[in-house]
Amino acid sequence: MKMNRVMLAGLAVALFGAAVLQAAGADQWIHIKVDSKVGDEERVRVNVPLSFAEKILPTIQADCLRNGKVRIEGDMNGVDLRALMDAIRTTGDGEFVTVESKHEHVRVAKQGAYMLIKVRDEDSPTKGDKAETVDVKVPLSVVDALLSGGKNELDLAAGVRALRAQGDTELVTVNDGEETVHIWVDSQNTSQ
Amino acid sequence: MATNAESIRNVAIFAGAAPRREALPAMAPPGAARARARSQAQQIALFWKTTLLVVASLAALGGLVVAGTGVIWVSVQEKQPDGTHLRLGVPAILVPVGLRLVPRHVWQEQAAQAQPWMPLVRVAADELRKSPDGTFVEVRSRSEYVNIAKRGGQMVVDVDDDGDAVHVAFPIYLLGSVAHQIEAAGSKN
Repeated sequence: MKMNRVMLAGLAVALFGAAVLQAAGADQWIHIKVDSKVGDEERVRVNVPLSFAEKILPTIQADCLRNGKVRIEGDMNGVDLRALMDAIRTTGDGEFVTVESKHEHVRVAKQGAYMLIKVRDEDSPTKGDKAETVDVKVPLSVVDALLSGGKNELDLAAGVRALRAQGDTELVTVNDGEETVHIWVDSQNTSQ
Repeated sequence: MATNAESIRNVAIFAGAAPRREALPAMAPPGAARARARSQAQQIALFWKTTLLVVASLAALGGLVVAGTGVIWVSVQEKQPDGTHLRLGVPAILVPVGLRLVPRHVWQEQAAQAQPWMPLVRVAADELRKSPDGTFVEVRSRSEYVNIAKRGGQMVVDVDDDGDAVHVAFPIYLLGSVAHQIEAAGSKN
């Protein structure tokens, strides 16, 4: 009887381990979904396995993108992004930036392991009847990875690697009344 | 007398003017002729059987090679009333083989220009091969539909607009193979 229990427990542990391994091995996909309500009412779906993006990025040698890193052109006005991130990481949850005007609300906050950016623009020329909304939710580990390159550059390949480790994540949602853009990561190979 | 006649015949044989005795048409019995005819028919049948076997083996070998290396499928359908519908299936193996046959100087310059992108193509081909199946890009509007997907070991591209419907499917390994050849051609400047 005792032997049976031990065997059952062993089987349960093995099944759990297999499930965990399968979940970890499942390929994550980044999805970009754009729906337009104007013109030809174009709908665009892009689905890319993150493993594919991670390997491809270092091979692209374009103007500002080299070896998987983007060079930030222009003046950063002396802002040290890494020091800023360190400060954000070590502080507790809360809002860092809040801009309130008659037609625009901008909010930058930290919530758990995520950095949140919310923009509500009610004065957008393309809005129609609806305000433009932008929601960005970036895992802090991804921001760290992006800033892990040299000065004035973003390490995209490292960012993608961090994103792979993150699991299912909502990244960007933009809605301006005429067009919606949705970017997220999950283990599905189709956009739903 | 008989001896003289024999001597004369031997001289004639030596000179080639008379056939040897064993070469003379023998008055063979009818059964032997039938046996010889049957033997000839068997030889002809054997020849055709061997030929058919060789042809069938070559066809089977070709089929195996094509099955193993894949086929490039192209379909172009014009949507106008008298539009043509072109369907083409080309064994994928012909592309790298064909590139080998084209003299280098013909495409060396283009190969050199494409050189910077070849590592990207090679890595993309390798990663695509390992990637799970799925639709990578889909664009749908009132007038156009574009779909780029991976199915099995193939990349499948569909473009459908007001003018044409185009379908192209090719084995993914072909990308890497062609990239490798372009790199080789471009590097020998």
